[in-house]
Formats: sequence, structure tokens, C-alpha cells
Amino acid sequence: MPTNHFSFLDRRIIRDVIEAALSRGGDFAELFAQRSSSNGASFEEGHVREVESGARLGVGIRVIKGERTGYAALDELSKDTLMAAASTAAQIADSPSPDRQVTIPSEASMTPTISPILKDVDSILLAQKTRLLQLADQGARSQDSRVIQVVVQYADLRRDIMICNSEGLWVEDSAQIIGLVVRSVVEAGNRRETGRYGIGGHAGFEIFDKLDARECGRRGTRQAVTLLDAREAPAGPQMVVMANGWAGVLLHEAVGHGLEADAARKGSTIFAGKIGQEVASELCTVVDDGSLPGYRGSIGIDDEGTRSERTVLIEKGVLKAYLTDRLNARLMGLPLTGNGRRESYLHVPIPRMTNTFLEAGDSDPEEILRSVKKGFYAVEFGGGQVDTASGQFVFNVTEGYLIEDGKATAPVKGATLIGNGPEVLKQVDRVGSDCALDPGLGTCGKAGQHVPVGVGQPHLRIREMTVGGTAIAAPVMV
Amino acid sequence: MNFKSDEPTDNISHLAHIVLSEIKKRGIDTADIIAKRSREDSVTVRQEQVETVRRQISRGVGIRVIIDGRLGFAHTSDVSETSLSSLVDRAIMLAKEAFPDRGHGIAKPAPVPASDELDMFDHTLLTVPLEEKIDQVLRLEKAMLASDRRIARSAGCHWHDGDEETAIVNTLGLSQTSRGTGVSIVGQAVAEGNGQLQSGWWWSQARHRSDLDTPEEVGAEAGRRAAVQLGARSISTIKAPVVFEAQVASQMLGVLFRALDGETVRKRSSYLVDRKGETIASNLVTIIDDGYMPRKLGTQNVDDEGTPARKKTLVKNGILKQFVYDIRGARLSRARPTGNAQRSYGSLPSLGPTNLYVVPGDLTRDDLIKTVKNGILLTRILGSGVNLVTGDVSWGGGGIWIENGELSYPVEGITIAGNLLDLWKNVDAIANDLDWRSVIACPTFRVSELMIGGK
Repeated sequence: MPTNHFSFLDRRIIRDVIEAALSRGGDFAELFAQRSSSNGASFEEGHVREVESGARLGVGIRVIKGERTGYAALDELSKDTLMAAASTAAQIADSPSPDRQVTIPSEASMTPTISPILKDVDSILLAQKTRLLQLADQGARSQDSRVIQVVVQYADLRRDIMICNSEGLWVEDSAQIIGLVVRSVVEAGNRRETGRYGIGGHAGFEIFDKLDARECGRRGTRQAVTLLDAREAPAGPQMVVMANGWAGVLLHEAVGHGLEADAARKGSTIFAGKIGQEVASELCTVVDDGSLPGYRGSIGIDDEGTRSERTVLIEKGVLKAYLTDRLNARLMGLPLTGNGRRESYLHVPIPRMTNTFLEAGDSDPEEILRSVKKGFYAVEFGGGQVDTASGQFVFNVTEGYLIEDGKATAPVKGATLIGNGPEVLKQVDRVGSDCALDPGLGTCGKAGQHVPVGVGQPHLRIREMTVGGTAIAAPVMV
Repeated sequence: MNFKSDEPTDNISHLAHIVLSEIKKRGIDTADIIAKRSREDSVTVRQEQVETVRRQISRGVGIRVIIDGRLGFAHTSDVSETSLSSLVDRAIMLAKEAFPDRGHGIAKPAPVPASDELDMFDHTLLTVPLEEKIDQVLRLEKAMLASDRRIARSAGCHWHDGDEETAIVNTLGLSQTSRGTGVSIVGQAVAEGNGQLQSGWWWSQARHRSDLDTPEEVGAEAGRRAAVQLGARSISTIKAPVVFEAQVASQMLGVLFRALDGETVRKRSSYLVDRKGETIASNLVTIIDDGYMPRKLGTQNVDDEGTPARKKTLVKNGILKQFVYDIRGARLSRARPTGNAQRSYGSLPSLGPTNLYVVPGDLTRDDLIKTVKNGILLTRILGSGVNLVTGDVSWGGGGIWIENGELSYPVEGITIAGNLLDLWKNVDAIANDLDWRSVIACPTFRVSELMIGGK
């Protein structure tokens, strides 16, 4: 059953717009409509500081001709403005063609939900949302008496989309994304430190039946307190053990972006043309799966209407697949994987990751730590970045420890780890049995578009990576 | 309400005033409204073929209502009569849920230069034919591919142009409208050789088309940047002088600006806490933020709360002179707002630079490089490893190794780490190559010593 979110776009208008979009000879035309509403609140210095609410409604019209894309986005919606936008997008094709008739189904089909929303965010009173902020603040402050600042932010987003294209697809999907993030600052003497922790996912408010806002606050403070005692991180090559969960940023940067089909088709990634080749240690199986219920990168359909699914990118070290959108799948003769995503109606869909993770191996996580005589244990992570051409990537460790004689010992200051995608994955020589996805706050930026993503991995050991600290380290003996 | 969607250019201001009168009708005496309308066109070319042509037109309105010191914020892209009416009700309802905060306030009207005096709008950009834009990018790409025989392919070259109009009105009688244009061309090259792929990109950006570099200049520089990195290798971990090339130096300046956010400082979450009046950089370093420079990318007469975006010296000869504030931050710290509040219609203000720069020195870039016996010219950084609370930083990097004052071989796979306080205090030479292709401009500078992590 279609919803009435897009009742202003009746079947006849949609058909006229798509036919107008094809009027210059385009191969494919699509209308993407989005209605979203967002709510947010922030808590500072013990009080609710700001509350906000927003709404967006807009349409993007896309025309493809060969390798070319024409796109027009607008949020001032009338039949006239839509038809004008259709002719703007149509210009990408330049051979006037006989009127083309398109067939639109009698009604839009609703995408089956991957994770049923039990508590619609719109039905929850603001007071219940601000109560979460208070709990997180209490958790953060009660953890340690040296806390001097706590900032908590809550946000939820409801995103309804409708996609209709010239191939007769007409679908709708509805999603909710929710998150809570805490930042604590602690002070001891003249030293200050900060810690951050967040929780969230692709779900309704029921997510907070399972996730504990107070604990989220406690963890933010714990990280800050740990860092108060941090010493300088080593500089130079180290054996590295990465914790499970967030550390999956490694996969996202080291291989994920390089396996997006647009980069592969354009030859601007070192993974181009390497399907079937060994690109990682045989312990590595890397998967992208947007159909997992509840995680931040989870999607029912992508933003071109393709159902999301599990895609094995690397199987036991061998490159198996790229992540595709419609354009690149067709041009490269590859299957659709459900990864054509866009930030909003303002943007052209491009291949993007959903939830990307390294599958569990068979090493005991504690044994992995015990196996390292001297090294670096990376536990919590900030962002990362990759240059897909050279394969150089970095990610920022925000909580890390020295490993001495098989034990995590002194906490060290935040440090960047740098490596080369395929080289680093070939150096993975232990993979733990404890695969976990991140707690649900990741956002990935590419080509100016930001989309929610999930990352994950089990504990794993990397023989050598360069750690960007400030302390000279003794050479590693492996 | 009688707003019609197809009114001419003053429709954004008109829209804001309609919302203002709705707010006043409900007896609210403190509120501000921001309305924005923007157009953005872009063309992407790759391997001599047009790949994407895109147009985006969007607009919307955001309102902040303050009732007894409580702030409610609501925003929408839907400017229909019913939507705007419910927007006002929503903001009022939200304000009732917030806690009173003595910081909330709105801008008093103040005299500012007219938007036209600041020369922010290039009318010629409204009528550039699509064919001409495509031709510009094709020329750029051709120059890029021809710049070095090792350029294997184009990763896409772009043209962007757009215009934006902003209206800010409030219940104190403030009513400001400004409009500006922007245009940019970008080249992205992939070079292949020595068993490596290396990327390089370059761009030019301005408010007026006549201020852009030529497509040939931009293309050649993008190609050079990719080719020069071929054969890059890591080096052994070492403490050495680091020359921050202008574009990387500008990124450093952007990081420093974030630490100058007065509200972050008040919350003791910046490493610059308690350092006003103290030395936070070498005496060579003077930092200015100035929204009134005609034609520049960050030029604006008022910020997005309506505060004049006038010139201020933030750091003078290494001494921290002042922090930057929006209205709330200023009220809480008993300071003056500095004209740096920036927002879309759908967000609350955050602090951003207008035209932010480090006053250039006398040395040419080449002469500065000649002063380095053994060190690195840092031309790119990767990642965002900044802890603003402590000032500790750690990035991935790449560039060219310098031996005896000469550029020697390309480097990658290294990290650069230190503390921002030391980094800026150890700036011991500044070049004269200030250029304004972004809102943040910093000449090439040398830091006497930093930890470089490598193999």
C-alpha cells in the first residue's frame, strides 16, 4: 500500500514528467521524491539548551543517456516547475526523439520493512526525548568527579522516499534513523581531556528500550578520564591489534571506497580490474550488507529502488565484487547490489557502502592480545580518509594503549594510523571470533554527499602499520 | 498570508517578512528569521565526454523564537501558506520545552556596507550558456592530460556556478538582504608509473568569473600534482623541519580558527583556554578575519544572525587578541559578537571564518624551501586527527623531501604529529604566496621541527 506522503505527485503528473525528461532522447528517466522530518535537542550545563524541528520536501529528476547523467533538483513543487526541471535534466541527451510513452504501474508498491518500527519517533513526546538527554548527562557526570562539561545531543530523522522510473518501477520506502551522542570534558590540575560516545541506528524510539543512555554518558566520561593519564603515542611502525566494532573504519577506508564501482570503472582505484585476484590475507572476508535490520547503514531499498542485499566483496582474501548503482552496473556489466545511494533529492545517486564489515575468524580475542610482545592496541576511533588512487588511507584512533608482553598497559594520546589498503590487509595475520558492528553513529562523506553507514570487524592483528605519534619508538621485532 | 512562489528577486526578503508578521501576530517579541534561496549548476567532464550536468534550486526558511529566554528552532523547505503557519506554531511549542538560557538573543540593527558595495555578485554568471561551461571544462581537462606523459586519465573535471540570496529579519527591526555568486573549476588527475597510481587535483574559485584562473592553468597544476607524487615512498621516522605548502597551511589555519571559538573556550574545551593576551604563535604570525574585503569568497556585510562581519585581528605578532563569537557565545562571555555566525536555514549558527588569513611574509616560496637542509614540503594531509581540547594533532601526510634546499623525491605513508601550540610557536618562516582560492588563506610556512612517523 502506498502512503499519502506524495499525494501531490499523482500518476499522471509523474508520467508527464518522466516523458518530458525523455523528450530529448534519454535512455532512462527517474523521479525521486523525498519528504523528511527531523527533530533534535541538545543538553548543556545541566539543561535542555535547544530544541529543533525541521521538514524537507523535494524532488530530483534524473536522465541517463549512455554514460551521461542530467539531473535537476527542486523543492518548489508545482506541475510547471517539475516540467521545467524535467526539460533541464533532459538536455543531457541531444537527439530529439519521437514522443516516448512510458508505462507507470497503477500504484506505488511499499517496500517491506527490514526492521519494523515499534515506536514511531513522531509519536514520542518531546519530554521523553529530553529525558534521554538528562539520563546521559547524569551518567556522564556520575562517572567521575573531575567532569567539567557535558554536552549531549539527540537527533531523529524520518525519511520517506518515492522512486518512479521509465522502466516501470514505482516504489516507496520509509525509514527512521535515531542517535544520541555524549561528549565529556574532564579536568585535573591544568590538564583537560575529552571523550565521546554515541549510540543509534536505523530504528524507531524502541532502540532505547535496549540501549542505555546513562551508560552512553558513562562511556564518554570513561574515555576522557583514561586519556587524562595518556602518554605520548609512539611514532613509526608498530604491530597493531584493533578492537572489534568501530575499528571497522579500517575496512571502510582501506578497501570499501576502492571497491565502489564508480572508482573501479574510472580506473581511479588500485582495485580496478582485480576481480578474482588476491588483495588481502586469506583470513579476510569482507561483506557489505544493508539488509541487516537495525544498523545505521541499513536500508530497505537504495535510493534508486533496488533492494538492499548482502554482497561479499572479498572472500578469503580474493576480490569478488564491486558495489554498484544502476549506471555503473550497466556500464560495467555487473549485477545491481543495492548501493546506489544519495544524501537527498538534491543529489545524484552514486555507489556507496551500507554496513561494511570483516567477518569473524577463529582466534580468541584475548589470545590475540597475548600474542603481541610489543605493539599498539587501537580501541576507539574517530574518522578516516582514503586516496583511492594510491590506496593511502588513514584513520584516527581516539583511545589506544601500548601493548607490553601481551597486555594492554599505558593509555596513549590519540594518533593517526596510516597504511596502504591492500598492503595492510595482506598483513592481517589473526582474526578474532568476536565480530561486532559499531554502536551506530557513522557518517560517510563522498563527492560532497553524506550518508549514514555502519562499520564492523572482530579483533584483529596487523603485523605492521605506521602509527602517527610523537614519541620515538624502538623498532618492532616480529 | 499571501506569498506567491514566483515573485521576483526580493521574494526571499518578502517571505521572511511574512513569517515575521505571523510571529508578531502571536504576541512573540523576540524572534529572528532566516530565509535562503540558492541555485547551483554544475558540469562534469571525464575523458573528453560530458558525464553529468546538474542543476539544483532550493530555498527554505528557519525561525528562532525566544520566549522567556527559551529557544525554539524550526525550519522547512516547504514555504506554502499552511506549512509556514504550522512552522511558527511548532517553534513556539518547542521553545516551551527548552530551559531558559541568558545567552539567547537577536541582533540589533547596525549600519553595514550595502551588499552591492562589497561586489559579491557577478551578473554575467546568470547567462553563461551550457556549451560554454562544457567548453571550459574540456579545455581544463585537455591541459591536464597534456601536462605530463604519465597522466593516465582524468578522474573528472568540473565547473560549478551558483548564486545565493539570504534575508535575515528580526523583531528588533533588523532587515538585511544580501546576495552573492560563486564559480569554480576543478581538475582531478590520475598519474600512473613506477607501479603506482597517484591522484592530484587543483582548482580555482571566485565570486566573479573574471577572477578565475584560466582552465589551462588549473589543468596543468592538477596534472603536475599527480605526476610529481609518482614513485613516492615512506621514510624512516624522524624529527625534522616541515614546510606546510600554502594549501595545507590553510588547513592548519582552519583548525586554529576552530580553537578560537569563544563558546568552546568558555566551556574549557579548547586548548586556548586562559590564553587571551598570551603568546600562542610565533611573532611572525598575524591572523585577520575580515568580511568586508570586496569580491572575496567569504565576503558578507552581515553574518547569518545579522551581526556586521567587520574586520578583526585575532592574533597579532603571535599574541592572542580575541576569540570569535556568535550572539549567544558573546552574551555568555560578556563579549561582542564578531560576525562569524554561519548557518543554513536548517541549522543553528556555528562559527565560521569570513575571509580568514595569515599576513604574508617576504620570502618567496622557493627561497623558503632553500632554507631547509633536511625536511619535508608537506603538500597533502589525510584524516582529521585533531584533539581541540589538548591541541594534540596527528595526520597522515604526503609531499616532497627536501635535501640541501632542493626538492628531492616524493614521500607518502608518513604521519605528522605534534601539539598545535608548539606547531604555531615554532613557525620560523612565512612566505609571500598568499592566495585566495578559498575563504581561508595562509601562505606557505615552515615549522622548525615536528615528529614525522614513517617506516
